[in-house]
Amino acid sequence: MTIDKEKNIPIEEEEVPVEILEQISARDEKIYYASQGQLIAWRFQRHKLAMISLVILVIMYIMAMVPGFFAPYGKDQRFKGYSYAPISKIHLFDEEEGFVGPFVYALTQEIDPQTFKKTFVPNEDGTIYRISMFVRGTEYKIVGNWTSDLHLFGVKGQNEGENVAPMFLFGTDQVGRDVFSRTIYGSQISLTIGLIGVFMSFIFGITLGGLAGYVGGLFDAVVLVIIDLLQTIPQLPLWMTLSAAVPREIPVVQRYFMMTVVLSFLGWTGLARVVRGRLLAMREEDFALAAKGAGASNWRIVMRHLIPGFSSHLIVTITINIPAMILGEVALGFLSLGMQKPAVSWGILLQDAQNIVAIAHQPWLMIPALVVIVTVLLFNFVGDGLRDAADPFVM
Amino acid sequence: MNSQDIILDVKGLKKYFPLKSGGLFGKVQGYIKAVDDVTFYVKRGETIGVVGESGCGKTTLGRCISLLYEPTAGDVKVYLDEGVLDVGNMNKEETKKFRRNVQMIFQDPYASLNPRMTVLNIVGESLLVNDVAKGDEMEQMVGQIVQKVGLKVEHLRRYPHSFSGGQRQRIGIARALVINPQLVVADEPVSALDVSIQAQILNQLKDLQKDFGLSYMFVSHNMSVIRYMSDRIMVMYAGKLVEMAPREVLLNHPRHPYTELLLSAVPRVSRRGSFRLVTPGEPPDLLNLPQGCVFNPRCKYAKEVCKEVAPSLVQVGPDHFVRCHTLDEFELKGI
Repeated sequence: MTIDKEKNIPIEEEEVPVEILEQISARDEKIYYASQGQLIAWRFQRHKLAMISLVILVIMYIMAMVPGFFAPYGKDQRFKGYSYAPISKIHLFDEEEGFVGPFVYALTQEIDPQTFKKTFVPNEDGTIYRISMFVRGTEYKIVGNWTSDLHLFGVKGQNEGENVAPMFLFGTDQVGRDVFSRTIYGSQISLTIGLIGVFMSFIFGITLGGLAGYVGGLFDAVVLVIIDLLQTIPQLPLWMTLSAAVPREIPVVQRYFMMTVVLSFLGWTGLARVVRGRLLAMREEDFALAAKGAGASNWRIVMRHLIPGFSSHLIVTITINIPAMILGEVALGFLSLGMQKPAVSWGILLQDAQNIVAIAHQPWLMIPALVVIVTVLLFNFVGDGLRDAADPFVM
Repeated sequence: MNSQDIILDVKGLKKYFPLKSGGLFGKVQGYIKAVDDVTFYVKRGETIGVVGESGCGKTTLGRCISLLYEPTAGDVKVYLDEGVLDVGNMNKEETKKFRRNVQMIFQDPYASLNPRMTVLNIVGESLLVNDVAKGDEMEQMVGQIVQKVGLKVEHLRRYPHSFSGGQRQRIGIARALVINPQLVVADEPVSALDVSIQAQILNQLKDLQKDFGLSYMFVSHNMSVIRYMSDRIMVMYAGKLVEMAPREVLLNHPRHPYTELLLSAVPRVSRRGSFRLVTPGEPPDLLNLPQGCVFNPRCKYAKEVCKEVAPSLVQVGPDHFVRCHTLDEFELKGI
């Protein structure tokens, strides 16, 4: 029992039950043995928004890996008579039977005799076409090796030669292709080009920045000047020039790699600066000196002591750099300088939304832009969460 | 003095840090003379204390001795059981031998342990990189030394963040001693710790010295700590060695005005009969050192000659060296 000094009243001290004490010490024990990486992971998990964003991003990347399964239709599958069809209305209730689960009606195209504007009218008294999970549809390849025709969802009977009504979640484009399916196929290029681009600028950045920071002297000065020069050139014009230099007739895969090189051409500079600065600062840290005193080689000091010391910062920088790469690809694709048709990427999809008439009459062609925005936001949330978690000053 | 008794012999050690203007074509604009012409020796099994105010070059001196910094000039010789090492020109094999025998304890127990490595890997690193032991053998050796410095074997798998300052410093000590060195440079090992912990660590260091037969070069700005630890004391001012003497001689009969000044600043319980000198002037600007004796602007005994000619180090008694012009002219007070 202690005495509250201000009021002179005795205060009952709470007895802490033994079990709770044991729990606390067990938790402490876990923290004692936790490595820096584990501590960061625990703090990251407390960041709800970042966790949710991470989960969504992982799902998106899984979808990009097997787009055929998640997209109800093929990327080049055309629907005759469905040019510029709007987003399908998904119904749940039939007038006669009540609740029957999601279904769509067939659409019939009508032309307004006065304006010549095409409209699609759902055939609401006609047959209903049910949407269900795991339906058979167009064939696709998984990782270029196995073929399958199973789709996560779709209109029932779409593969049995029956004349079933299609379902367009994001509407269709001019030649009647499903924009939703194409968006999923497009993520394959748009999402991965960011990863590979960042990976390449990571390699450039680490080697050049690392050498500059460690070797120092003239090499350091030269690298810094190159970085400064590259950073003064406006990004988009440089990208445009570089991608214009890539020949147009090369295969999709080759072009894809060319584009990652173009995108990472500028991306490494920021990273190299970070690496150089951190190396310079940490080379003088006591623990680096201690390693030197223990007799460790320069190589060991850099790899074992210095690089791990700022790896969390590198991861954060990388996560924050990926959206820039994705946006770069979209911008180049939009300007027809990036990937070329028939490849599908978000930038290429957005080419359809280039003129005002298209946007006014077919607003759904803008949906891929929305997807881009959401993706970039998700990456930023994850980056924020990682930065907070990796910040050593919150310890 | 024969070479049997001494383990470290330093002559004319200099460490100048060049000051460069920035940019691609930066040129050297001057030097900071952090350590300037320091000559001293360490006897086998003794503790030599290095004392002086902040920025006087004691840490730089320690780091030059343990070869964390490359000295600008000077002759450093280490007399080991297995031979003499001339630190200025060692080949790879000799450098390894040097690292195995000269180790360092760092000042800041928070900055000197890599937060991403377990205690086992931190302490065991020197065993690993010097091909002394690895794997289970390394773990066993690390376990022994860790117990020796007052930690538990269970602590080996933990990371530094789970230890207190005192415990971390024990890890630092274990790291220095695991490879069984002969000379340990301790750079302010207790200045970052609580007073109560300081005493524990100091006593531990003394015990370890006895057990392992170590020689210490003990750097501190705290006269009380130096007094407790050292057999001989060297006083540094502005990169220069101004006085070096056995402990009792230096404490009772200082011969350099700066030593007197330092001693007068040591806090004592009883103020009766004690004196305190008011410290005139400021610590020296290393970029712009005064002409003549570096201490002359603050020295109350300074004469004309002090402003013009730099005094040289002279021996005034057994193991007693002083760098001053006014020797024997004034009676200086000790403790």
